[in-house]
Amino acid sequence: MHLKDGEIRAYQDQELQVDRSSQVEAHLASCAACRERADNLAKLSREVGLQLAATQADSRSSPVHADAGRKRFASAIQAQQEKQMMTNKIFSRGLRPVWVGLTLVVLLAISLAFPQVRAAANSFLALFRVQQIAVVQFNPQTMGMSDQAAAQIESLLSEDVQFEQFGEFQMAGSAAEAGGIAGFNVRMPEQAPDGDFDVQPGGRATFLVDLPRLKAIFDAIGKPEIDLPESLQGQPVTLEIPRQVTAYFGECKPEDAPLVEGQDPDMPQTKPWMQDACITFTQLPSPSISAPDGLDIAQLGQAYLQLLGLSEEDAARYASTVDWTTTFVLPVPYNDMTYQDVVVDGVNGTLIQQAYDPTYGSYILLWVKDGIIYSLNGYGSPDGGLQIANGLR
Amino acid sequence: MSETTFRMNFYKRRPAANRRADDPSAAQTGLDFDAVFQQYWEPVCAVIYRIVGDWSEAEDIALEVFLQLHNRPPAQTGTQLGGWLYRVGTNLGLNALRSRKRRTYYETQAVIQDALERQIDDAAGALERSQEMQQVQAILAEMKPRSAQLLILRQSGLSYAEVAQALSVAPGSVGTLLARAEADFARRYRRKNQG
Repeated sequence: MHLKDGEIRAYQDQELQVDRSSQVEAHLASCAACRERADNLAKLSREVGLQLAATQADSRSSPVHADAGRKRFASAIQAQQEKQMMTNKIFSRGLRPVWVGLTLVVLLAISLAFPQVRAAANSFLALFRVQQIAVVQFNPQTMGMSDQAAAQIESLLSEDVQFEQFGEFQMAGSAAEAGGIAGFNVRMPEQAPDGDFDVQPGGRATFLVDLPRLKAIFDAIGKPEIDLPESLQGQPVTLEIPRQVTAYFGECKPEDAPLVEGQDPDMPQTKPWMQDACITFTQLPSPSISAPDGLDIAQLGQAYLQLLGLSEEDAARYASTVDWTTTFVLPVPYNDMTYQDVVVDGVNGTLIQQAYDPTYGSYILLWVKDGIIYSLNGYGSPDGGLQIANGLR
Repeated sequence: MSETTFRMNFYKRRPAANRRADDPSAAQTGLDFDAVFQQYWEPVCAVIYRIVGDWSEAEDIALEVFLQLHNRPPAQTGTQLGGWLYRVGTNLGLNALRSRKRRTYYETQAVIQDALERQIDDAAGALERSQEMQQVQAILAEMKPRSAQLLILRQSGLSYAEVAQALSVAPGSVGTLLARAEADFARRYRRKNQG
């Protein structure tokens, strides 16, 4: 029996167990063929080692030090937290029930990195009953949300919007129980054993349209040309978000979520605790919006698209192709996200992925079936999410 | 759909009441972040430097590695955590290398300038080392990522056991994989220097 290359290599690196090592040594002493191979392997290893030595740092040039690194890390973390706190600030307070509902499903996963998108969509969503989802791509850079605009949106949300919450956060031990609390039929895959479900409260947001304030916001974001009908002034727009049910697959440890210093502990932590192997599955009946009679929805839709940075012509063209009373138009940033249509759970759905990081980046799979919005959110390959979706009973 | 689909457990959580009382640092799956940082920052930077050949870029990438550790700590603990850091670091380093455009004339000039500024007498030697490094980088970038990672980690002084942990391979197969990676590297190196 001759030796394998790998074993010879390990022997030369003194990485074999002592007894195996002496067996190899004995064999090499008696076998010329293996000895020749061992010589060649050693020669190869030396040669490659010399070539790779070029990657060795010149010891004089190493500026790296753990303490300095720690400082850099601290400021990177701080920047990350400030960004997050800014986001939280805009969307905390009375907005919580609304966010827990609608955005966790549709917007949150997408727009975590883009608080301005959330602001735009939330303050301005022309949702009726969502029966389908369409995607519009936009360039976040052209939105240019300034601090001033963010502050104005915040005051709009806190002064002109009334929030009511219905129901409390509850946990349920089975799909049937969760469905009983939430008031709709909760679906799970055939093979999934019963586990714990989160049932989030529902909410209602009523917005009395304040045209001068909206106008000021449009100006602040550099879109003074966005036009809204005068008849909207003082009209109520009501957004109702039903209770939603969330289940987790894989290694999710929501209770281990690190609390970021200075962060509102009541704020749902969305991203940090979602681990690589965690898939979050959310379902909720379509939110609804009631708006004044005679409202030109397409015109509102166009304003929404312009808010996202589309030119007036592009926005008008796109707006005219969409049935705004049944379609939620999801903003997806260019470059950062890719999207594709997929058939899922027997209907057409949308798969959105972070473009820059297919290995670790998150994906969200969205579809609407029989009046229920479903969302699966995970990291890396979407196969796990697709399997769950296609196994739903 | 196969039976294995739901190998993933349907997550069972502890009561939410425990949650806020937790100490934030301990909440990160028991990770002592500061200690890990102290222990691994420099070696991780050094390993990434071997791939990208630039300290500030190496530190940028290491920063990304530790941010990921902080934001989404992996399941690994202890020495396995070191393996995770090396894996993510070498992955990101090789990604950076592959997406990098060929070094330009100006960058070569910058190496010479740098050598002059640092009053290294041997500017020609510095340039030669830099060109040698570029050649090695080019080969690493075109190899299979795992082979390139193996060579770099081994060259950085990691044991077979550590390499096995970092790359999620059986410890007994490291010798074989290493011999193969070396042969592959040598073949590419020779081809580059003949052509």
